[in-house]
Amino acid sequence: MAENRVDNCDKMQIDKEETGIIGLDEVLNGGFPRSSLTLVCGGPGTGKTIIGLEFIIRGAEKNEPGILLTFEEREEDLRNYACKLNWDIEKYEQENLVSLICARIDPEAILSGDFDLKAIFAILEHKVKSLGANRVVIDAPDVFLRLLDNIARERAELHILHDKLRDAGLTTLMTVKGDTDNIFSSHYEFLEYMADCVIQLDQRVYEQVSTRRLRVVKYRGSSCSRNEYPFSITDRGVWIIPVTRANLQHHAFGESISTGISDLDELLDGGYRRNSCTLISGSSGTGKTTFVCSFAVSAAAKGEKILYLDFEESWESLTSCMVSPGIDLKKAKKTGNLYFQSSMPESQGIEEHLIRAFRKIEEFKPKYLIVDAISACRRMGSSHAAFDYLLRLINHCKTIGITSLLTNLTDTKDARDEITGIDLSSVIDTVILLRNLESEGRFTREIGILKSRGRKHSESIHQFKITDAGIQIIGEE
Amino acid sequence: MTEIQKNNSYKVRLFIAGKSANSKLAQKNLDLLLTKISDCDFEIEIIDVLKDPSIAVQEGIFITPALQIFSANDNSLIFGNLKDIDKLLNLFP
Repeated sequence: MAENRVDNCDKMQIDKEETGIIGLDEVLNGGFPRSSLTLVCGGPGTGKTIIGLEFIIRGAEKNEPGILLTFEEREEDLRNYACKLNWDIEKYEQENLVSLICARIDPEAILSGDFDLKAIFAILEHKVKSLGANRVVIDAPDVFLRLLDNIARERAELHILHDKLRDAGLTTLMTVKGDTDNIFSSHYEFLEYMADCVIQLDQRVYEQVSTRRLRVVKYRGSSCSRNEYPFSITDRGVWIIPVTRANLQHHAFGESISTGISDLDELLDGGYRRNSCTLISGSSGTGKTTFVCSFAVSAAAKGEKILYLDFEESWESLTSCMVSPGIDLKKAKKTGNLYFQSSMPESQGIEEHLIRAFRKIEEFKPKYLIVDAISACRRMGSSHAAFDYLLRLINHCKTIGITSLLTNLTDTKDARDEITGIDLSSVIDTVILLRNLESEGRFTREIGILKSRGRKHSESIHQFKITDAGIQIIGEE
Repeated sequence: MTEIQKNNSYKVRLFIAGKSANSKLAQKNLDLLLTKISDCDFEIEIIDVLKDPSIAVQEGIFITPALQIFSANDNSLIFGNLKDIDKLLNLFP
């Protein structure tokens, strides 16, 4: 990864502090600016405090002490968040790696005359020294500054704070409410000039699915990915899966792998190529699932791991359907090489679906991924959501060297329209079309290879049968 | 303003930040306030948070000056340079 970043016209990189938050370092091209100020802006519930808390926890994991100073959250609430995310704050506190300061002002207190914020700065400085901290999060300072009720003084105090943090060489994250347009046109606009990096969070509902998004508004002295990235808060913390990588790092195609159907291996000049992505497309009842299951059983028997994501059927229904063509999925599962995960597409948003898949890939380490069927992914929200999900999933597979096999249910007679329709053709290397033709009172099954990148392949349409010993290709039409 | 006659004992703790203007004013105002109350015992403690912030952390004192008043019945917390002496006198019933 490190060398690749350099290629990214980023030779004059400033010094950065890895956040340790999944995906964020990739978006930021390395992390937050070291010994400098980063602003995280966002409305209520967008995840500002969680990002701050995670930044401190990930630091503590690397033995880098950090302090979280919040003017808004109650201490027990913060501890509850941490607990839900499986972060052991108490342990890090005992090891002097984390300190939480909850500086909520007692609402019962009486105000009499002018005051200043020196105490909080003194407390912060004292904690920084005693922990030897190099990460600091200042959460919701606006709540505190507003007590001054004087814009000029609010600015002056923020400048003092900023100077102190910078002089101490602290990598600081400050959370601010609202979106950047409002903040920077309001009396906090100077914050934008003080910060070297500004991140905007928001949460939007589109097609009834609510998605959190993150965008880097500015990053002084560094390149970064400017797109908007959806993210999710999981039980492991914040999780961002960048949609598009700055540079494609796909593995080259490898050797041919048997499709599990010897006749098909011949048509494909040996089989599916390792690290490639194959799409099997056809209307209902054309045998798409039978093709992918033939492959799953064959690969499992050879001791290679397959992750099967099913958006249409349950395991029980799938295994019983595959009994008739003689495909024993249960046996394949018993080898431990086949992992079946089924879910309703509409049950979660795409981020949750993606994270579920990514997490299983990480745990199970499959060599192959089957998605049955990508057409059902539209039910995750929209065609765009399906495209987004599949593009990121396939990109991830190609980057880590997983060979993928997708099925697509088409409703039009000409399945070719559907492939360009879902717009994934740039990541799909091989397309196999299946169809049922009606002639002389019976159906004939046909198969054709529409494309196969970097390979000679049969250009003819072939007939095939699904027998009780699997798929057999009969011959050219 | 007549002096208030009370028979009570209080502990007062003033948090200041070094020699800032507000710190000096608060100390002056506190002295003035206490002279207006007779027949009371006061135990006065002045803490400079710049020298020792640990008590401030413990007590949740994040702005200065701050005055804590502890009595047998009640505790109070006042932020600021204590300029409203008349108002504050009401805290010593």
